[in-house]
Amino acid sequence: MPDLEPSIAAWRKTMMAAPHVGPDTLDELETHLRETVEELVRSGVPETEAFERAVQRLGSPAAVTSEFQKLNAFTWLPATAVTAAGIAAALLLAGYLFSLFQTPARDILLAAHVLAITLGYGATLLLGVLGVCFVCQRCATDFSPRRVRSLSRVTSTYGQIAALLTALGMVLGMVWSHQHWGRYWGWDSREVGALSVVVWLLCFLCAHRSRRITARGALIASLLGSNLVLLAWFGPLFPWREGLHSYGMPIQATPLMLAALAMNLLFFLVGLAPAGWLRLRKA
Amino acid sequence: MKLQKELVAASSVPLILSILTAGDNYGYSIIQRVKELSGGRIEWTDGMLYPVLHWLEDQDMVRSRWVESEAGRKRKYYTLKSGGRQALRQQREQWNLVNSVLNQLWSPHHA
Repeated sequence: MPDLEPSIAAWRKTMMAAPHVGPDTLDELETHLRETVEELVRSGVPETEAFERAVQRLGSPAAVTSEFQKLNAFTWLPATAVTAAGIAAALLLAGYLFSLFQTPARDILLAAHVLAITLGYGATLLLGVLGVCFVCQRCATDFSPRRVRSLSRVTSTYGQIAALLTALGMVLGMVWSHQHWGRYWGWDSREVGALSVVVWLLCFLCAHRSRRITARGALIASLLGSNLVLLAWFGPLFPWREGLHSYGMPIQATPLMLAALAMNLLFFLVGLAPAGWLRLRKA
Repeated sequence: MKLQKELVAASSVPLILSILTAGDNYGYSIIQRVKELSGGRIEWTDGMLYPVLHWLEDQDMVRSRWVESEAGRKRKYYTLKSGGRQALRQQREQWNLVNSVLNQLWSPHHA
């Protein structure tokens, strides 16, 4: 039916402009449209009229998209909870830091550095929390392709925020370090840690963008990112290069740190198991 | 007599799941099957079926895959999953219950 093609192309264009209807769904609807037209033509309806009736049966773009919109209203509870907790913590931290560093005024730069790097690390850790939730839920049931696409957007957004803030924090720290310590960079443990996190996040985002990893891969990999942040933030200082950052985890808390690292590794390994393995075992 | 739209909407999930128990199927064919079984009295707006199918997929009741027919047409087939079978069992019990209560209420002996 060659005459039908321009009409279908125009219909596709109208539908594509409507939100909430992805290319895959559009292909599915187009198949349906073609089948209806063929059926009507077989029953003796002229092709042009058959097309109009098929479009009418399928429903107006507004009606179809409003139904799909209800589906897209899907929110993954852990993502909502983690985002809300992250925003609340960021606001509290910002308020606290700026009140702490208000006097003398020159330390605003230090406050901005601490805030940015803390938020960057925090976002990376929250991504790891999402990874844990994902792995736990996936033990019982798999995620539908639509949910996976939605999660992919979430992990990408978190990765971008984390990379931006950590890099910003690192640069602000370098400027502050130049002003107060007379050098931009000193291969200090904390500096190397921050650089490692930035490099990790950039690799994560590149893999995301090039679609080398799926949302599942991204969420599982985020557990390794969490470990990197734990080491960068609270890990031991290089004994041979003590540097000027003196904060870190007290020696007594080492078992706690090791437990957190081990837990993340455990979740990472569990994440490699097939979806729904726990349910399969019970069955 | 045509069914009210609320009833059409409420029955869409058990109808789709029941049709899929007979084997994998695709949207157009599911609509045709419903039309055929109801003698044309259950009338879906065709475009409304797909959000329901996608919702079922989100709920892990069905899974989908594209299949190319011999004629070269690509169709998205839906397959019932164990979650869908379980949901259908529950739906069946509920609809049977409603049916049985109404039958008793409307039987001549009841009055």
